[in-house]
Amino acid sequence: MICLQGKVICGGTAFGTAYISDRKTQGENKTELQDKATELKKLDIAISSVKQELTNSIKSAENAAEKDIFEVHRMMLEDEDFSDFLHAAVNNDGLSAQTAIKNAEQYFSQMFKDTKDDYMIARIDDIRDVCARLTAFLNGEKTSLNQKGPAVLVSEELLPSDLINFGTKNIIGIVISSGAVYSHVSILIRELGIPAVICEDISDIKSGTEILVNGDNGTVILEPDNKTLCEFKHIKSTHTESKVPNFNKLPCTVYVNIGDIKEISDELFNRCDGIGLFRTEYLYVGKSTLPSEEEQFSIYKELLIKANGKNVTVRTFDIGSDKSCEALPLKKEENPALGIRGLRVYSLYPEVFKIQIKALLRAAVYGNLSIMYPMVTSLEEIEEIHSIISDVAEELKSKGVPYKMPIKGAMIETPAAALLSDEIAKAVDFLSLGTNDLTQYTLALDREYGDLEKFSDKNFKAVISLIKIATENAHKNGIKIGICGELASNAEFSDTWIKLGIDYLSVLPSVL
Amino acid sequence: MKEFEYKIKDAVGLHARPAGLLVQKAKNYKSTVTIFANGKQCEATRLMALMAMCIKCGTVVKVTVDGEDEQTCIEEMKTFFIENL
Repeated sequence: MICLQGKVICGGTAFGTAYISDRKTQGENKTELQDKATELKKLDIAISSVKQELTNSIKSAENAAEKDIFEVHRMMLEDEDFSDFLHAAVNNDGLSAQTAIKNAEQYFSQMFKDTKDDYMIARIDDIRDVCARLTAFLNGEKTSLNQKGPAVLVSEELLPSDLINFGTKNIIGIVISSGAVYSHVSILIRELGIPAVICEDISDIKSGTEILVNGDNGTVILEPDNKTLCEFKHIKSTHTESKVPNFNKLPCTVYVNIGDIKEISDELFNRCDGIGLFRTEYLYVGKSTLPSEEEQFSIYKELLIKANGKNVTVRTFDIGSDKSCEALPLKKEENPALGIRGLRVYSLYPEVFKIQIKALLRAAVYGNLSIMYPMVTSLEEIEEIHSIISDVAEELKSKGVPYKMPIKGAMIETPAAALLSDEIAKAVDFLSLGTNDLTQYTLALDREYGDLEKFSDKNFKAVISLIKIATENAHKNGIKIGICGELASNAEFSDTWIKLGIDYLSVLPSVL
Repeated sequence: MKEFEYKIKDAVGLHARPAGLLVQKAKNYKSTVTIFANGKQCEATRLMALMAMCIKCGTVVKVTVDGEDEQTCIEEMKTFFIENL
């Protein structure tokens, strides 16, 4: 039994056999060099098969991000320069198909490296992904875990596309030796709720090693003895017995974050106190037409009926920054995170906002509805929104349409809103801290760039100071305050929130 | 031969996805579409080479179109740049 200590990416525990995904050995030529014609034929079959593989992945992609990644990969594979390079390496230089791929990977990686541009350098991973697929095909290796059954994925590093390629359903745990806790792939892992740890030295782990990943304390145990396994099984069974492990024991309300009505089930409502963040962007993003009042009304109504009296907090649409909507064209900006997004869009498209408010007010009759507005920076913005809401209510009243005024809240996700939370608290019924944006804006760190991690504050000192200000101001004005950002799902900070007096946490359904 | 100039407005520049769309678009014509920027040039049907030109927000690119369908091609290319970049 060997015990390794690492950094936590995602909590939870998993036990299974290790599946090593090692890029270093993937490039090795595992077959004898054959004659030119055979090598060329092998190369062409590999290219067309991987193209088909990618086409299938594009079709079955579960979200737009996945789809985009594979489309770019397919386009790279179809690039004439890429395919010319491969063919020339076999035809003119007499190399094997595998070596040609390895050389192409080096050549095109170098080409992107030479640009000295961070974005292009990051695309090297995409070239490596495409080449790894080709090599795996030629070596007769499966890049998918499908046939192997559930396993703990062990790798030196992981790319977001790896996770998707391996088939997330088959990964019960993850151990990687390099990576950042706040990288894109780590965020994706937490979204999926897979217990994961970063361990610097993974050389003792071999394919097939029995391995216990404990994402709650950051330990990884190889070939655990019976005693350790029994303890693990005990923890696991008590986890499944209690309805809301860890979070359930907290002396505060626990809600969940939801991004689509399809994610909701009765079983989920049994495990939490309600919905603390219902994102409505999915109704707008990737659609060519805007959601109608009726369409929205029926979704919000269904949501409230399913909640059966429990709180449902709907965030009005947060378009802009990285979330664009075809039907709501916005100017291209140099710095979209600091541009027209959140409630700033409402003044450009007041009618679209009114339609959502109308649907919300009508649906509010069916349950306990709260609404909140994204990207608040001043009291004036809230007053403007509230005057629109009053107008909508007047209109419904005059037409005799049944409606109810929902509980109204402001998102605190900019330092300005936290600093002005005293006056903002006087205008609303609750405050909700969006810690992802609050962190990005407080530390002036783009959360999309892993290179910036060394500048980030692991203890969130500055962010917590702002949260403290907002909490005190909320309570001074007699209203509640909660956290709906990713920090809420991080059990390490639960004590901090309780001490500060946070009234509710809205967490990822996967941590419950 | 016809040409036009365009200043890139997309925040990330000619990144992978729009470059891919440009390649697909350029393949639809009999004319040869060439992109000039940062002292380099590249045919618009070559994805990796286009990406390696590192065309950023604010870069002025020159697009030339040469071939039998150049009139239609240049009009549609202009629209493509305005809509996507």
